[in-house]
Amino acid sequence: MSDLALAAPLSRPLPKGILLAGPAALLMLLLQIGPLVLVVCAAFTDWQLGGEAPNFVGLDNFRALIADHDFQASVLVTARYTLMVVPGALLLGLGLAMLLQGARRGRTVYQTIFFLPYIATLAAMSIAWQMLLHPSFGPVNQGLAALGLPVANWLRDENTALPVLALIGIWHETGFAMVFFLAALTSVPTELHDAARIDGLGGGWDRFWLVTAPHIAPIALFVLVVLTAHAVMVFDTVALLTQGGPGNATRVLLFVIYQEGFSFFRTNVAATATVFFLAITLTLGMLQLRLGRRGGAA
Amino acid sequence: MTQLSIGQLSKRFGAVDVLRDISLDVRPGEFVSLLGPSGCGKSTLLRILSGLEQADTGSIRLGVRELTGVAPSERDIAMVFQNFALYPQMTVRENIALPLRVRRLSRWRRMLRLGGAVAADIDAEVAAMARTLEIEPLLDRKPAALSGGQRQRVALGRALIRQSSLLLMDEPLSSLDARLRLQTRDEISQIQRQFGITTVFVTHDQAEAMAISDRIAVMLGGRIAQFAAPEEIYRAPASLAVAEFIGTTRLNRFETRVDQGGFLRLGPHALHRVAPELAGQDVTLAWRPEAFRLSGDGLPVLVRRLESHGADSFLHGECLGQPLVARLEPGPGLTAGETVRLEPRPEATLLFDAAGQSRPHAPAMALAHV
Repeated sequence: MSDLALAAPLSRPLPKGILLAGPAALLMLLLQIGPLVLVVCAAFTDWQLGGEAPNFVGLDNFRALIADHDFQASVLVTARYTLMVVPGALLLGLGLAMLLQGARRGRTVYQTIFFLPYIATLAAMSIAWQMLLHPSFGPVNQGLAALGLPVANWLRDENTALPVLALIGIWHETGFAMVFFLAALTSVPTELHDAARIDGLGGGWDRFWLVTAPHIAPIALFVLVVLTAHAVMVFDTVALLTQGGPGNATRVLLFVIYQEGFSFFRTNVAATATVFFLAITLTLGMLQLRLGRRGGAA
Repeated sequence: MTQLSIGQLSKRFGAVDVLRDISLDVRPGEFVSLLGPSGCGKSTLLRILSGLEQADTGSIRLGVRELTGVAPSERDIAMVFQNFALYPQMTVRENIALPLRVRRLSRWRRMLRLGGAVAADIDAEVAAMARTLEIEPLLDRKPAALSGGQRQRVALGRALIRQSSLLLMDEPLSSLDARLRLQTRDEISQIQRQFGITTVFVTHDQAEAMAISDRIAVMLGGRIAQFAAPEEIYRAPASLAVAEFIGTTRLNRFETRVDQGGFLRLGPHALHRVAPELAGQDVTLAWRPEAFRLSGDGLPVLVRRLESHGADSFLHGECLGQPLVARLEPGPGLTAGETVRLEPRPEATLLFDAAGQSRPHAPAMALAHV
């Protein structure tokens, strides 16, 4: 009897803990881990939506996907988009942050204005961009024509479609980068700038490299990773403005997954591409976590 | 060793006069402290000397050179900052070498790390400085791996390596803990003498200023209220404001009037004769707590409370309806509630006119009862 009485209070917290954590764990399993497992499983089958019972096909889907020229092209398109958006948004964000840092008045106003594109829904903003870029009555072409400059059908031209989408991407992400850089710049001790001026580095460029750059480097790395993740995940503008065209010029990874899964109903191909995509974003996510931890420690 | 002359310097920030007509001559090799409460303009004055800030009017001469309008790096000055301002990404060696590298090597040679014979010279100078400051074992560490006192030495090293004519220090001890502050204070004093560099040191800590300075400029409300040796500032404050600012305990103040005969009176007591031109004027008498001694015919003081500090004790009492604090040597036991007689030493009596300016007064004359 006495043994049981002693044991009871020790064992009680366990069921109560499970009871409390259970619903959340179940939801997590059902809504987050479940679909993920399902997708990964589907990637190893020949299952197609509405088709017959799936068969296990091993790595066939992966082999086919890697050999597929369209898929290879879409990886390349995504990479090109990322390589345009990330440096653009990073440098513009840093530049804006440094300008605002030096501003005496109106800092909050400008900060808000530059941050607006980021919080505005990109899907909704795409409509505005579509109107701006309309080949005949869009202000962009009308303006160019008025100045006697060549006009273009920006979203229908293979040479301009992806750069234009990248420009919209930069417009969207610059505010995001700027906010992080502003926070980082405020943490640079003014004393260091003073010391640099006395030590003989009076010029802005020298002082940027001696004082500012080392201070904001961890944040810059963090912003770089997050921007890359954002760019790799581009979808809204492509789906709404170009549908991956003209040709395959703007067919980015996420759009391929969307088409395979929801237009062609080749669920297994979509699942395989998703696994590939997940690997990229997971890597970036882990990099971000590690950088975040290091930035926090410094 | 170089002389520093500041002439009629003024500075406004918006509607606020931060510095008003500051003139100061610092002798070659002298250690001068700018002492004052926060907001008195002492840091602004230092920043103007460094060139980080510009004065509205006035001149600064270092030796024979006029510094107004000269860039901070061209002024032949060095500065030690409150939080040391070491470059965190550089080692101690690189921090100390930086002012020399910037001056002696072009940007490209610095970036490509091509220094040649010049770099070898710089290395030797850094090594010598590290020996002097006893920081040789730290040369390859980063600032983050140093203690507060070590960072202070590195900051000093970076300031002294250029052998500038003037060393400016902005509260360099305030970010150290109490014990380290005392030790570092002595080290700074010793190093300053060793290098013989003319030094201006900003602090709000009077004990620090007293201990380390050849002369102290007390700054109050953007003006220099007094510029004198520490001992003189304590013994003969130029104004009531200086007297109240200097000293660890409250000043005992009595407002009174000089009678027509030129006698200083305090209640029914005539103290002594003062300058005839003060006859009939309102004045303020002030004594520091240590100005009193127990005496049969002093001022009557009602003892409220006694506080023993070991070597001496503080009497908190009441004299002529006003609170009074006296520091006495531990002697015959006093008790709260009794009335004792305390006589102020005439040479420790401070006298100020209605404008708060110090006035000389005739020496020793016994307290007389009228």
